[in-house]
Amino acid sequence: MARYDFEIGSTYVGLANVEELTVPLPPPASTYKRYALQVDLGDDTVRGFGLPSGTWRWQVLTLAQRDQLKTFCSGASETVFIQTKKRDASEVYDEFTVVMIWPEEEDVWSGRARDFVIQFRSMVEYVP
Amino acid sequence: MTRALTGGELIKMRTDGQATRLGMTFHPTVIVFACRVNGDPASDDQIAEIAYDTVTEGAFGDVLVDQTILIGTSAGAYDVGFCRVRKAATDTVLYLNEMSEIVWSDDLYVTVIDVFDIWPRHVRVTESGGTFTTHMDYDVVYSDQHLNCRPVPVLGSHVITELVGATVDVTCFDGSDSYVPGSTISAYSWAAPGASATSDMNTATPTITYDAAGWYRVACTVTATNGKSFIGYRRVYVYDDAHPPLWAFQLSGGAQVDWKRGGWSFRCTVHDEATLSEIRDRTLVMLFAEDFFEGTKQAVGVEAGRENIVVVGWIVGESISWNPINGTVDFEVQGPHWWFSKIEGFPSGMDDVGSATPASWLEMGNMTVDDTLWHLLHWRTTAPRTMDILLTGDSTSIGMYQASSANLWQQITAGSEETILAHPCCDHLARLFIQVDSQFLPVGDRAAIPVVMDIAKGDWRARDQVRIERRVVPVTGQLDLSGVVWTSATLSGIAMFGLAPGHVMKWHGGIEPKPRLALTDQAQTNLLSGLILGNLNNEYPAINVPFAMSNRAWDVCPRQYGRITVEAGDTPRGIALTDFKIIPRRVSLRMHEADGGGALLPDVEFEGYTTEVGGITGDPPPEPPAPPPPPSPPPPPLPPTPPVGYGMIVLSQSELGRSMDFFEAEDPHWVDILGDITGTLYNIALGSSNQLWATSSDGLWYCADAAEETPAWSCIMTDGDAETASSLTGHFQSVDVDGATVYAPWHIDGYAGNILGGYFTGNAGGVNFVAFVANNVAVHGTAGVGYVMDASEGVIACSGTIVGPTTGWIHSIGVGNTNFPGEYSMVCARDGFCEGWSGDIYEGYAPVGAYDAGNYFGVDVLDGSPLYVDDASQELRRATVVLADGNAVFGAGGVVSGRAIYGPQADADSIVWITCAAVAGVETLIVWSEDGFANFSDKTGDFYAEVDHWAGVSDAGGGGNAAVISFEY
Repeated sequence: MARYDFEIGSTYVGLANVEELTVPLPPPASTYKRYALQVDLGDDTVRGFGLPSGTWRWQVLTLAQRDQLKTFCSGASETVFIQTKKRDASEVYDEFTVVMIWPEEEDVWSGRARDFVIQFRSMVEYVP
Repeated sequence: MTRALTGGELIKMRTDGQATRLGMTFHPTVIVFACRVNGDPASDDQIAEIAYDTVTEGAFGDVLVDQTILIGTSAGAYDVGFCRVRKAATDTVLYLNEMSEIVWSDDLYVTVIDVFDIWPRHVRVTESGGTFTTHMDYDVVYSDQHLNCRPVPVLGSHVITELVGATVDVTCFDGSDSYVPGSTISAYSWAAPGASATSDMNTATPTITYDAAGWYRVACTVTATNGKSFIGYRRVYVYDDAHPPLWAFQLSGGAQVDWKRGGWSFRCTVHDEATLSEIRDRTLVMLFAEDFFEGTKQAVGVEAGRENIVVVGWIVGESISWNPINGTVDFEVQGPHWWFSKIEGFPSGMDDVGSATPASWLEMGNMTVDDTLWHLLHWRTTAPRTMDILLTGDSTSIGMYQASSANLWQQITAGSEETILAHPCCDHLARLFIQVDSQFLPVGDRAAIPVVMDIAKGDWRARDQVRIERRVVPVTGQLDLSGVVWTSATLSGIAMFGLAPGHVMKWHGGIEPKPRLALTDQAQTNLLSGLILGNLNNEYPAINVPFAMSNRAWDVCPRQYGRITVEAGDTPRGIALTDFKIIPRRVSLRMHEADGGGALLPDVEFEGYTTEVGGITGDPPPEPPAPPPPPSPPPPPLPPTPPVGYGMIVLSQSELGRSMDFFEAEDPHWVDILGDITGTLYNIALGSSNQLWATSSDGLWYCADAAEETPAWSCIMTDGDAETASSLTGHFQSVDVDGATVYAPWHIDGYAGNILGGYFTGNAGGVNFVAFVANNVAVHGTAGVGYVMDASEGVIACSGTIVGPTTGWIHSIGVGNTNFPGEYSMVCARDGFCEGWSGDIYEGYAPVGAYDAGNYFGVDVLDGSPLYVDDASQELRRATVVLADGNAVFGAGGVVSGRAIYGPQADADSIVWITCAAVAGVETLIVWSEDGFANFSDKTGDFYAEVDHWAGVSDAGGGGNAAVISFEY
């Protein structure tokens, strides 16, 4: 029984909880940034531009778990579907199409990947 | 075209979460027809058609006019060159735009692709028999193309749409802005090959449905009421997740447009992809965006159905990295303005023919600037095939249009800016707008120009700041405008002149001339002067606004405004602008990104709104000083003029004197011209051509020219020659006087051995006339009777009327024609009497009185009155009564009444002769006396002026033996 609702899939219908994948993953620590950048305006307010971005972070993954994630992003990036928390302060999850960015550097030690961070860009809420 | 953003749209643009995802698509190379060149043209120069064979794809009927042809050394290649389909192909020939740049050879690969680029249509002039014929696009001769013009399809730009569900409808094509000079649009006929469904295809606004991704061609045939039609083509690009556009690229430096430059451009870096090598040179590129507002993908913009299009252009260049693993290509993409600037325009010109029918490519009826632009764009390019072209709508008449050899963009610019202050510019959708700039419109006419939005302080990026350039010193002190108000109806123009601000220029700034505009009236001239001056000295020439909103409504055309309010406390200078309209002149779109996301934000440079500053009626330029007259050509050499003057010849019995300056000189110079004449001189006579005859006791003498320096005399009749003369004519002896034969005047025999009293004259009244005296009878000839005096042979024929019978010797005869109109009057002096004739013989007249008593010498007629010399009294007398009729002489009572007009002189010399000579048109009486000739001569008309004696003839004369004539030479 999954404890959280973090899901990932190459297609919308293929969305699956990360804790219930073939090689189950622990639930990630997630972030969600509503805007890619903020711009100061002439009236001293701020406007956020750009699609939301976010991250999933694991302290440690086994290589098998790492390889499980790699099936969703064979290259440096891939468009995938995810379900993640929209706000850290609540337990609200939303479904997104995102560009999944594979980490440039991987810290693999003793058969484990440490501090493994997946970035998500161009997060667009998906309404089926 | 453009409009104000709605409140709802502005709310979206002013909220967080705006994002842009840029995409790009290249028009693919779709083959319509493929074949190979059949044969090798004898020359590669001026090729306009090519034979083909070996068709490998399509059919010649699939080929559309103005499609692109690739010529290559392998199938589909264009390594040899490009060209264009000029007109419909046949089963053996492709007709190309005339060219010289392709080196043709047999079996080259020919590939017609479904691409409509902007091509030039060249002008060709042929000559035959001295007649020059102008052809458009190689072989289109003028028939009625400027009378019944072809329509221009305005359909809307290309379309990019995403296929999300099963189908997608395209409803944004709209042909209702299509137009045609001099007519109206009557029908639309759309065609959309590849569409899954269509509707309303014969209306201006069709609906076209697609159910699959891909590039599609949409065609619309626009027909005018004048019967002409024209087809425009546009593209629809449909993409879906399975057939995505190019997402992975960078917009290097953004996309930008400059109003002065005339259109959009951008550079993009494309990473190595399998499709890169397939991108054809010069291909159509569309940069587009998926926009997100509040995190949701949606289209917000002013161009319905095309909100997602950022820029439409064509690849004009590229920079390629040499990297086989991870190479990139930087493409440079430019809008239509760039291509127009690369088309060299032939010199062009047209004249207005008013309501007459245009008869050539050089004429247009009721011509406007739009007409000339239509000609340039329609007949000199293929642009109307593939893009919207919207003209000024200005109806100002122009008399003539001339475009010098320049590129087409320059020709368009000159033809619009230099006439009605219109400016050509292409928007981001690659539509060409030629519009009178809003700054030059009367304020009242600007109301229809939309204000895209009121720009608030929260609409711009604080870090980049709004910069307001403010001009404090005018650059133009005076605007000097001139132009012509042309009236097509009369084909006449009136010059107009305008000045702003007035006759006195501003404190600063130079004088700016603005000549040769097409104007409507003086009021408009004045207003325009003020508007131009106001714009040249625009206080706010540049206001740069870095927008913080994903707003692509800004463009430099069509006409639009922004509006700002700057409060005094907003700037250090305390400038306050309230609801101040500003006009976008430059737009730059750049991606502002972070963490892989961002938005395409515009930076816009605006120009402040201006109005007229002054504007009055100007002054016509002063007439230029007359150019100095060209140097007079040297006068032609005068023809040699014969000497003109009047000479005088006088004679005594033994001397013949001639003076050539008798009438001019106080002391005439005399020479003796007696020459070979022998015998006692009796008389002289002058012919009509200055022939001279003289009678002497030895015969009749002839000289051809009295003015000859040394007259040569020849004797043409001597004693005894009468028979000879008579034999020449047979008339001498037939002259009958009362049934008796009389002899010719020069017959000497039987008459004292001489020709005493013989006299003849000629050229009376323009008719040769001869009168002569023979013994005691006189004979005169009259016209019609038959008389001839041959110049060189003397009297050779004469018939006439005998004057007589009279008694006594006739001494002399005077001839005139004044007193007897139609006849030739004569007066005769004889012993004891003086008689006159009117052509008939006077009979039975018995002279009485003093006039019987003496001899009278020298008679003549002067001013209608007979003159005679009374030898006894030594008086020159003039009859007081004009000879009245044919029978009367000297008075009604039969008595000659007369008076002395020249009395006896102190020396008592006898007057021996008088003569009347026409000297310079004035009858002049010459009188002289017996002792020395010309003692008393008159050459002035008062009869008393005395001239010197003829020095060479002194006291040699005898009574009755002298004569005088004057002659003209």
